[in-house]
Amino acid sequence: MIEGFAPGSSIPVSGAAEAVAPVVATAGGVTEPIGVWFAIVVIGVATYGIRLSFIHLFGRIDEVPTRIKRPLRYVPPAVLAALVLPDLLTLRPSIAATLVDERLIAGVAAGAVAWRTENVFATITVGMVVLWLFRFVVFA
Amino acid sequence: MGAPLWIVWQVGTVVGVVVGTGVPDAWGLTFAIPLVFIALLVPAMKDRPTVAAGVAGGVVAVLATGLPLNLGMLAGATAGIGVGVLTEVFDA
Repeated sequence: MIEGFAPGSSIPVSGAAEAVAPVVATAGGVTEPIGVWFAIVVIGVATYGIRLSFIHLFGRIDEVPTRIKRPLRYVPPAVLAALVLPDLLTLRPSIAATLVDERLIAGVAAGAVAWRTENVFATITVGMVVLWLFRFVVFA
Repeated sequence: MGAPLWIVWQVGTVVGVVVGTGVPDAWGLTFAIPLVFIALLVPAMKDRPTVAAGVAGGVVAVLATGLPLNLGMLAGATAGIGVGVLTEVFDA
């Protein structure tokens, strides 16, 4: 299963390289095709290396030490929540202004669907429909 | 093994390039990204310590939103991991 993931991990690499390339091109003021391709290759190799090194290093040890394993268990909920919540609400001067936000309402609805169904597609669908309902109908 | 993944990725990218600019910003299609993360986050919060890690991570990230270099997200993640470990230790 991990071997199946390794080629897959090269996909975000190309995405990251493309995202950075225009910045490199505009930084010099002129378009530098060779510089851009150089940046794409370097960033691609570096990103791939970061991913591969972990697979390689964890493959070398028989068992991950408890001291490392314990915090690793909390990485997914902590990181995902830190990614999601700032996209759902913005702190505003009053509690009402902070909570009455179509993004937060849609996020809570999507969370309920995710909890009951554990279905990614249903979660996205309900989240978008609730977002549009409140943005274009209720709060319009 | 990676061929279907690669094909879907390329087709999706082309569709995005061609159709993407025609979609009005008001539709907020980028909201699908946090929705995908919600679909991953909810099953990741399956017991008391993981729920505590998620709540702490989210609250700290929101409070620290203004920090430069997107450090608020890192602050939230770090706080969430710490609270998760502490909750596990105190529950034991």
